[in-house]
Amino acid sequence: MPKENHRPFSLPLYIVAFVVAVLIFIIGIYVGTIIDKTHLSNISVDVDKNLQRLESTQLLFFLDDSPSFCTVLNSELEKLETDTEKIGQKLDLLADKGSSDPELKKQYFVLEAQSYLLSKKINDRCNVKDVLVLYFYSNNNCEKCRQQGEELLRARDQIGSHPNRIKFYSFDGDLDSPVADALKQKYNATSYPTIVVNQKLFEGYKDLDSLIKILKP
Amino acid sequence: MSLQIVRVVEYAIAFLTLYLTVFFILLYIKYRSEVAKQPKTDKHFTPSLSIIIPAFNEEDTLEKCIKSVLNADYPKDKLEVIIVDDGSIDNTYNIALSLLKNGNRLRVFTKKNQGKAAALNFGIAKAKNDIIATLDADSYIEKNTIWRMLPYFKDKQVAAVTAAVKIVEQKSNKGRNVIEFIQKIEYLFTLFSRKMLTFVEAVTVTPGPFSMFRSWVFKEIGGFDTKSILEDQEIALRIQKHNYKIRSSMDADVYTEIPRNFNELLKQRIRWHRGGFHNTIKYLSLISPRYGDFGLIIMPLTIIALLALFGVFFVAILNYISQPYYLRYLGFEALWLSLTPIHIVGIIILALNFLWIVWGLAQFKKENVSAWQLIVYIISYSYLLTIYWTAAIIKEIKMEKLSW
Repeated sequence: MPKENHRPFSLPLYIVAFVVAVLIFIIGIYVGTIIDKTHLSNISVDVDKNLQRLESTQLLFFLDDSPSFCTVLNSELEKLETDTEKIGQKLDLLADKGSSDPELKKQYFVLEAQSYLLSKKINDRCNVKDVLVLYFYSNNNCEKCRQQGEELLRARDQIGSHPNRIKFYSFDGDLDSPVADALKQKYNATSYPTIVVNQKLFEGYKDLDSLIKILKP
Repeated sequence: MSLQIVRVVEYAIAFLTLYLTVFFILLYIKYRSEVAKQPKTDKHFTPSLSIIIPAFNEEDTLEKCIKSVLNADYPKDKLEVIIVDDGSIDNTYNIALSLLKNGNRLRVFTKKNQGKAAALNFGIAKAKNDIIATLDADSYIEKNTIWRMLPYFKDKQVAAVTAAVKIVEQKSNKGRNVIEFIQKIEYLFTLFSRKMLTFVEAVTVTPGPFSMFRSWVFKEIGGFDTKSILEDQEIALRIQKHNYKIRSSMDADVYTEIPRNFNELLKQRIRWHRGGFHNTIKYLSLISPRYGDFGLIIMPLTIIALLALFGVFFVAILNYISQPYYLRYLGFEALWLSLTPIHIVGIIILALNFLWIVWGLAQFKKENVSAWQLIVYIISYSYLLTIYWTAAIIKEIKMEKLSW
């Protein structure tokens, strides 16, 4: 029966398809990279904005030392710190995806540290009993750090925010950030993970139940 | 280190899937005028035709099926119809006998139940004509179906021709039954894809509902494989292996019954996917430059694209299960932030596939498909496909007997 070899081999079609596919692929990757850069620059803008808001809140604090101003100061600070924490989470998400900017991270630590110091002062003057928690971690050599970060959030969700809020300030101690290093030294934190709760040091990984005991105001 | 390898594999699979999609789009652009052109009906070209109808417990649909053939437009002296009752335990055999009348070229046989492939082979052995067609007992053809398929046989290298398989729609549903319209769109889309595949000699199924073969094909390469549960795909792959041509008609309609609820649909698809898997393993040797476009590009890339779909789904589920705790605070913004370059490529692939589907459905102007039906189809298709494959794989692993 008739059986000539008629198997088509449309080479020109393959070559054109390959060229088109490569072009589209490159465009896709390029768009993806631009989006990544946009995320980081948006966060950078947010960090700067928050630093400015913090400065004006600090100014308010120094200008008026009457206790009656406390509610205003407190609510300003609360909004600011919620935003700051969100920025930290976004940075973590991007880092998980492989997109990180150490300088931006260090700038973020500056924002956190200033926030912490202001919080301490407001706590004292306004007789507020918020729980201030410093959390030192590292992304190299610390297998329990990631889990510790998650447990801290879980613990806070379980304890709730009444009557006193629990505030977290996390610092990567291995990033050569002068602010993080200074805080580490001040509270004698030498290993990871380490938390400092209302100026008391707790070294080593703490599980959820231990955290709840430590953090309960 | 392992993250690097995962990244490379990710990028490679994404590129290959993109390549396959682009290839098909370019294929359509190249052949779009031929897709629309249907071969002219030639009433002088009248090869002798035997239509074999294997039937097992089809008392509900057999009469309509046989009558559609008896009413088909084709010279009666060139046509014989062979009904093979595969040991039915209902009224199938009686219904077939009741349709025997003087001069209507019907031949009715009954045999022990041994499966569809054996019934088909039995019918083929009894057939006397040059072209042998297989027709499912739950399907029916139109008056001009036969005329529209025959012209493809003018090319002596064509070994088989497939019909345009469409579903039997239940008017009472008014297009609201999701299981029904999803299959409707799926069948139309498959029809289009199969036509495109003829341009690269890569048709891999001669569908059971209605397909025609030259009688010498069975003599030369053998009859249907009784060990395969997807025998209509197996014979097409065997035809490909022997380098014969398969052609597809887009306007020779045959209407076939479909599962009407999800459980029946799942059972059907498990059979298709398990059968397909076994057939593919049997014909892995087709992946070779010896088979031109089909062997070098279509077959391997289709397998890779299927793995990609599966992989994407599983990775998505894995990511969801292991997602970090803090994501709950970020809400929808987390999605925007999580976009990677590969996601962008994936979105482009989806958009190109959407274009492909729209082009495909545009070929069928007389079929009513509404925009929202199309959207439901596109959204659910990959989920459904993953469900079918997962169920099929589970059954394979449990080594359950392959059955109907």
